[in-house]
Amino acid sequence: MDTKETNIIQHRQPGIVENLPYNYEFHSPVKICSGKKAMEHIPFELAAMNVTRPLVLASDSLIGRRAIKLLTNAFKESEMSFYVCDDVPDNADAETVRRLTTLYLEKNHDAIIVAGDGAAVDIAKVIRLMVAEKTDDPEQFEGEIKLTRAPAPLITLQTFDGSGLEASGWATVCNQTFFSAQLAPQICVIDPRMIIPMDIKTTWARAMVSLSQAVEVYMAADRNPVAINYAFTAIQSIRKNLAPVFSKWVSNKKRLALINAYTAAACAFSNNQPGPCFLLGKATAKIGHLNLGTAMGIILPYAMTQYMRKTNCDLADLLRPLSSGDDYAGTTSSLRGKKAIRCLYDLQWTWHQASRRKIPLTLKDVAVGRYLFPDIIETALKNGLPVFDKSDCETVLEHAWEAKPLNVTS
Amino acid sequence: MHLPGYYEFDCRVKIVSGRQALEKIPDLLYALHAKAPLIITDQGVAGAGLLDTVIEALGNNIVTGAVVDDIPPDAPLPVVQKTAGIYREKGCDALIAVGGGSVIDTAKAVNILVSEESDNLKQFSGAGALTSPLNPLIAIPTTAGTGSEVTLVAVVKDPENHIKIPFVSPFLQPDIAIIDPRMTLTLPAWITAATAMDALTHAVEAYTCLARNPISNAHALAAIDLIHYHLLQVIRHPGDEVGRLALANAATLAGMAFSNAMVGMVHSLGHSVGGVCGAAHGACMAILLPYSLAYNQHKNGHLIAELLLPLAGEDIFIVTPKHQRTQAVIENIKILNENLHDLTNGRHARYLKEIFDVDGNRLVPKEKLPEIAKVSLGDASRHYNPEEFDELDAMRVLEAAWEGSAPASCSLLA
Amino acid sequence: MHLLLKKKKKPSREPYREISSGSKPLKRIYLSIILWFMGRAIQAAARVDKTVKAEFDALPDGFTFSLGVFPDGPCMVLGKNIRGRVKSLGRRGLEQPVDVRITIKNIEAAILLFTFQESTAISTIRDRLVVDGDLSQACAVIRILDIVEVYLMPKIIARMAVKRYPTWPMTRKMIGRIRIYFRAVLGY
Repeated sequence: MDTKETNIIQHRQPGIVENLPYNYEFHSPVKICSGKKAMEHIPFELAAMNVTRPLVLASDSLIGRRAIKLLTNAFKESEMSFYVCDDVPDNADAETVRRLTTLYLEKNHDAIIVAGDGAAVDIAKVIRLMVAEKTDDPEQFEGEIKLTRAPAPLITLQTFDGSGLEASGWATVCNQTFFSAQLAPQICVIDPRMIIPMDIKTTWARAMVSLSQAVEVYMAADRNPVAINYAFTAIQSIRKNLAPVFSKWVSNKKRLALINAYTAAACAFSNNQPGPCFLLGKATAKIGHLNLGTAMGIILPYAMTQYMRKTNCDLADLLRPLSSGDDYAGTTSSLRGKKAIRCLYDLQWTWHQASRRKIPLTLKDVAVGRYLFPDIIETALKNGLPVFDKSDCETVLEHAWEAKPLNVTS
Repeated sequence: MHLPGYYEFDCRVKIVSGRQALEKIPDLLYALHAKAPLIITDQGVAGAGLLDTVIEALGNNIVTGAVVDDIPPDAPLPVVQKTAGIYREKGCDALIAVGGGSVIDTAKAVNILVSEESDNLKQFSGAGALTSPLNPLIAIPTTAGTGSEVTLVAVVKDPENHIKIPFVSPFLQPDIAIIDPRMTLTLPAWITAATAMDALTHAVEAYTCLARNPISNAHALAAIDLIHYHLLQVIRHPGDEVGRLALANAATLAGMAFSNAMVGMVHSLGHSVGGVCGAAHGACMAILLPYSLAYNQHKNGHLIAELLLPLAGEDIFIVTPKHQRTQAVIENIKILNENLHDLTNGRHARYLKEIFDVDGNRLVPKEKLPEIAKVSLGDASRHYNPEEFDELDAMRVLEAAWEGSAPASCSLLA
Repeated sequence: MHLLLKKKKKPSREPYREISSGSKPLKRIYLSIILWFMGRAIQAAARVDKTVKAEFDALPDGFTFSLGVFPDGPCMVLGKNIRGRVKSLGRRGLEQPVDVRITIKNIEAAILLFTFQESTAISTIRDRLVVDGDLSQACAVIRILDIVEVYLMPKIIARMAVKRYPTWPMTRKMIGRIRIYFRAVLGY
């Protein structure tokens, strides 16, 4: 990603975009189609892009089979056939990528549709990269990739699960990470029929990935108003809709709202480098053998507090999506950042209660012992953790271990 | 988050904003595999020295293919064809549009011709005629603004047949929108006011009309907030670079919002006033906004009320009881118009009867209102308005906006 | 017993296969009938209702418009001939270019529209339609469709189909409804 100046200018009055940065770039070329009968729009969209031979990639899973069934119905009366390859494994390797790329080229396909579950989306992005660059060696790419040709169209069918990066330009295949804004899908389709409710812990963990992405977008030193809008949309939706979906009997409307939030968070995050909260959470998940969302959900408020203490960054505007307009306006501007963090702690507790205490609140609850902290910190620092140093990480992990309150002012 | 039954949000434009945004153009062109751009602009922009600023920013890294600096308003078809001819003749491979809505629309239309290798623009009119990406196009707006740098629409005038030809396609969106405060630094106060109110109207209508969606809502609120905090400051201190950048960002955000959530009655009536009487678009928007909101409030008053916080700020929001917030929004917009009227020494019109041409003649005579009302029924944005309006309803709103009387709800107009 | 309980073995499938575009015959037939009848109803309304007549009078002679399902689904085509008479042209109307083309993006969107789960306004707002042609003429077409829907359907359904249900005198509605149905069935 291009280096961006972080020349932040203080304005005379606070506002929803308090410190408008001078320099930023934002690019999210993803079209979002969300709602009832959204999948039925796919043939029209493909025709609008001159596509005649789309390839559907799916895994042999419940979501994959449902996607194919719904697509079969959606393509009726469209006078367009599609081709299915449904043996995409959950863990991709280089051989699978090459095999599918060869299949794509040999059969003259011109677009990919993928159910946004597991590795299929990442594989689809890498296939497009290799086809556009006319190579069969994905390992040659590093850093931010600038494609010489526009890649083939990609349509993702968003699901209630996933990695949280389907709508972004990021892809991870065989431990190699690829990034390019051009790899982002052309269209993200969010159809309520693709929703498969999951257990409470998985639902919560998935939401925490997107919540932390959205918060990181706001906290980034080079934050920009466009990305913040996507992020705030995501945060507000997660705040309002996550607790209700813990109940089995709630309608899919709230789950649909959550998937919209996940997509918005990914679109914003696509323009950011991960910050200290996300990277520390990632290291915690890796060393503690946790789901990424679980780790993020536990440490996020502590990491945000430590970030505020370290950088004196005011998170005032974050109160807006975490609370109501009246609450925001009624809180003194100097206290809004602290109140935002307070809201996050309260939300953690709300989710814990709403889930009948199934959701963990501390690292102790998920058996991540203190003896793992040095490894977690080392992993995080090795991956280029910005802003935080060793003592910051220790502070965050210690407080997250047993939910010890961490005040903004020490 | 209100989730509509179905919505689409599409904005493929890369936004590059900042003090030195223009200087990034050579790298951006290189990334788009282009090296010989055709720069198009109008005489006003060239005369203000903005074209020189752009060319200077390009430096020696880019060899400009050609410069066309006499694009007239309304993107006439012969000009589009002539400019496309220059593009081909000079072997250009990209377009840079420096200007307002007309220049950007012209660039989009030229891009169709040169990318599709055709001379017949009309065959691509309407929606769905374009099926593949066009040549690189960079839009540099010089007003804050119409938001054309992020929309997927272009309108070309056919002077021979006296019609306007619309083109709608996601491929029409520029590849890059450059938001640089230098482009609006010398904008006169009354144009700053008019274009900012245009952006405000885009944002307000995108938030309150029927096609709203969660992402356009967020962009609309942010745009309103930026305009509230910076507009009057910039009018008082035209050299405020931060304020200019904020307003330019607001216009782009509002453009992203309305491009996806459409607009309503204000634009139906405003387009008609502009079409029948030749009044400036921004002026019409500013005047008609409070009256149209009042007309619609019985249907979407709760949405209008949510605009009070970004529009008026926390101090006013917190002391206004919930049931009065809708009216407070309408009043605050009227107050904003009043303030702009004072700060521009009367050049910013508060009512339709205050719009004058350069010779001091009233541009919108009262006798023309019935014709305007009739024409407004043919505007597509009517479908997105929360409340239906016929000729009589339009007439009543126009009369109130002409006179400057108190705005009234539709339910009270009957 | 174990033979009865034995699971049927699913036929093995190639992981890579083509899925042809199928059809939805019942929905296609339903839409064909609705659009055919609607075309005739508009033709009738142009003679019966003064508002519809005025709308067509404002449109140029030779004007045609179509409302159909992408890509080649059921459609209705109406035209105003050089003598000013409005006629339902059927599919043969598509042999010539039409002035205003309203395309419904898929058959399911058309079903939502013509089972009145979504009104014309809601369909437009939800990007289920694409309108090509002169926009002021397209607005006139949509106003005509709204009026005809009010005539064709009982209030409880028509209210969902239009943004503002008109306050017509009962005589206009009932007499107009009878005349339009009569003419539409007989085709003149």
